[in-house]
Amino acid sequence: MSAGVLKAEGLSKSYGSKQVLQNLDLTIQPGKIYGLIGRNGAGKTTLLGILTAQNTKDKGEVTYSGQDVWENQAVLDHICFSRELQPTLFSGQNSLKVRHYLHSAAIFYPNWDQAYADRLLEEFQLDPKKKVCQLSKGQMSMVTILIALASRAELTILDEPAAGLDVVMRERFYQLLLDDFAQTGRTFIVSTHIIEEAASVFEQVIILDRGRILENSPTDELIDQFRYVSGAETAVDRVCAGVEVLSRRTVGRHTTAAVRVDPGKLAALEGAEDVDVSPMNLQNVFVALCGHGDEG
Amino acid sequence: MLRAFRFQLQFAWVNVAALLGFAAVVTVGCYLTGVPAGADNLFTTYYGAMPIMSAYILFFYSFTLCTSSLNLALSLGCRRRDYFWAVQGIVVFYAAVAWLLQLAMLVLPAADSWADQDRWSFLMGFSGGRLWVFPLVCLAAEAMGCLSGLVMARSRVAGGFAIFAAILVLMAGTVLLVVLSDYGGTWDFLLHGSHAGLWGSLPAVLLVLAAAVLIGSELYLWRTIRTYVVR
Amino acid sequence: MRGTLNDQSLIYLQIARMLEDDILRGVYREEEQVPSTNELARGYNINPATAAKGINLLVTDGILYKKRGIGMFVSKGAEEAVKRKRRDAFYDGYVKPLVKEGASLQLTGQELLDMIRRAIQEGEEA
Repeated sequence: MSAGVLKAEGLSKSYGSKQVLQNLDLTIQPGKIYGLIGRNGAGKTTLLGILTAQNTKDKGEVTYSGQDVWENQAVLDHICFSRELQPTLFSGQNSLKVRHYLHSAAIFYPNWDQAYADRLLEEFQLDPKKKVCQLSKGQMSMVTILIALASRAELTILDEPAAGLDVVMRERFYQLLLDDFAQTGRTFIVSTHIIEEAASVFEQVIILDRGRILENSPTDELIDQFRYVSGAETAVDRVCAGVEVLSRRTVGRHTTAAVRVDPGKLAALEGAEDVDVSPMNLQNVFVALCGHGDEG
Repeated sequence: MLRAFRFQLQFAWVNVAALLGFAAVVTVGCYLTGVPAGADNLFTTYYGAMPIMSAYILFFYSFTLCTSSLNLALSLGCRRRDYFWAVQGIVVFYAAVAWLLQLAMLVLPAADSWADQDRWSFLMGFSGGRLWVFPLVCLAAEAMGCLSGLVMARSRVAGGFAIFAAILVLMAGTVLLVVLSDYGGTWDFLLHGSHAGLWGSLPAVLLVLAAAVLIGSELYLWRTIRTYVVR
Repeated sequence: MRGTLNDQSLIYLQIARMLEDDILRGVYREEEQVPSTNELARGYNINPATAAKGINLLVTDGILYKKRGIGMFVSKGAEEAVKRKRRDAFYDGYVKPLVKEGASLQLTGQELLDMIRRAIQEGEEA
């Protein structure tokens, strides 16, 4: 049964000579909170745009519940892609009033929950009469979150919802997200730069790097494959022979290596003499996979 | 498609109210300054130039149809073809409102026995008595508005030029209309003068031009919406 | 809210460990109800699936059981079960690291044992 499954196959997209996505495959199962992480320019927003038919693709297929997404109202009715608001649009100020934005959302999203929207409007203390260009960065994020949550769409995508929010509001956002998820069990995809904070919220994490999907797995399963091995340079090299080393940093004669291990070899690694083996968190894993050694 | 149309309508109502309000102010101004009795002042000009002004206003209303409104609608999950047809609907709606307004304003001088009937009836006569010329001009103005909006989106400079060109065209049209109506006999003179054929065919030429602009911009609009990438 | 969770081990393991600790200390006794998946998720700002994984681990180990429609409860003999589980892991989790650290400090076996005895004594006096 492919009900509620979002599937992308062979996606390719380029802007001019720049290839943004290359032959990308991705499957999103329903009823989970996904985190989409990737560096700036990795293609996150482009990918999300293509998945929701808001962006055009050069090659490939995107289906939801087995039906093609493009120009398909039945499918689009189930999807909400809440983007970052922009203060300037089309070489001018974005003079759309919050009120009109919300009213427009209410028109287009079949499951729009006005009561929920009103509650959030009140909690976020947003003035509906203000124009988007008059909002602070934090307020723009709050509008993004409001739209996403109140849409009550089966598949809800949030692009950088936490950007611009202070830490207290971010915690509140995670709470709201988890509460909504607990209540509705709908599918969420959240793209973010603030990785470690959000890691405990994501059941599954997707890592996008230079137009390709590096990982799409349950968060804890992914993290558990990685370790830091540190100690004397020689000891570390010895222990890490036969293991995938992602990065090494040596200070004096002390080396710390980020490694990726099969679950089978983990015990051997952890029992090794003369080295310290410690776990990596999601942010560490991300940097190890996508840092490309450019910190030198 | 209904949703897309309702979406457009929320902005259109305000615009329509503004247009009608403007017309009301001009009309009331005419009455207050004695235009029906034959006075010749600013309001006389405005009343007579109302067709051009309406077209001009519609030109501006259409600006955002292919830019920020399009972007917003698609970002909320609207289908592209639904949006295209909603635009058609709104454009027709605006033209219909402007047309009805114009008909009312054409009928008023005759109905209320204003002085100088010739001038007012000229406005009708310019389109050769064919009622549908004005709506076509409105549609063309709206099409140009859409296109200008798109140009503006690419570059403020180019967009500025587009607006400037549109202003020139419309100003020229206004002047032409005013001059020809002020000097009542001018139109007849032209029609019987040496280049009678040229002037006589002017309405027809403008008609063809308007139709061409309309068709061309529809095609361009369809292509734009089809390939549009939401920001 | 998340303050008590760290990134030193997987979250669901920490959730399980926290519940086990509470059972050992008698905070939750046999047949008492423990927080539900949703309560844990809400309380620690974590995904409910993660909380569920932690609870399921304890269910598999026979420490918790589910009462349909009500929630999760502490099993009979849970305290013993936790102790047994911890004892099995005690050697790998505490003793081996202690010996490894002692070796790197070049403490002799005898010095280690003396230290352990002293700690036991101090513990009894406290």
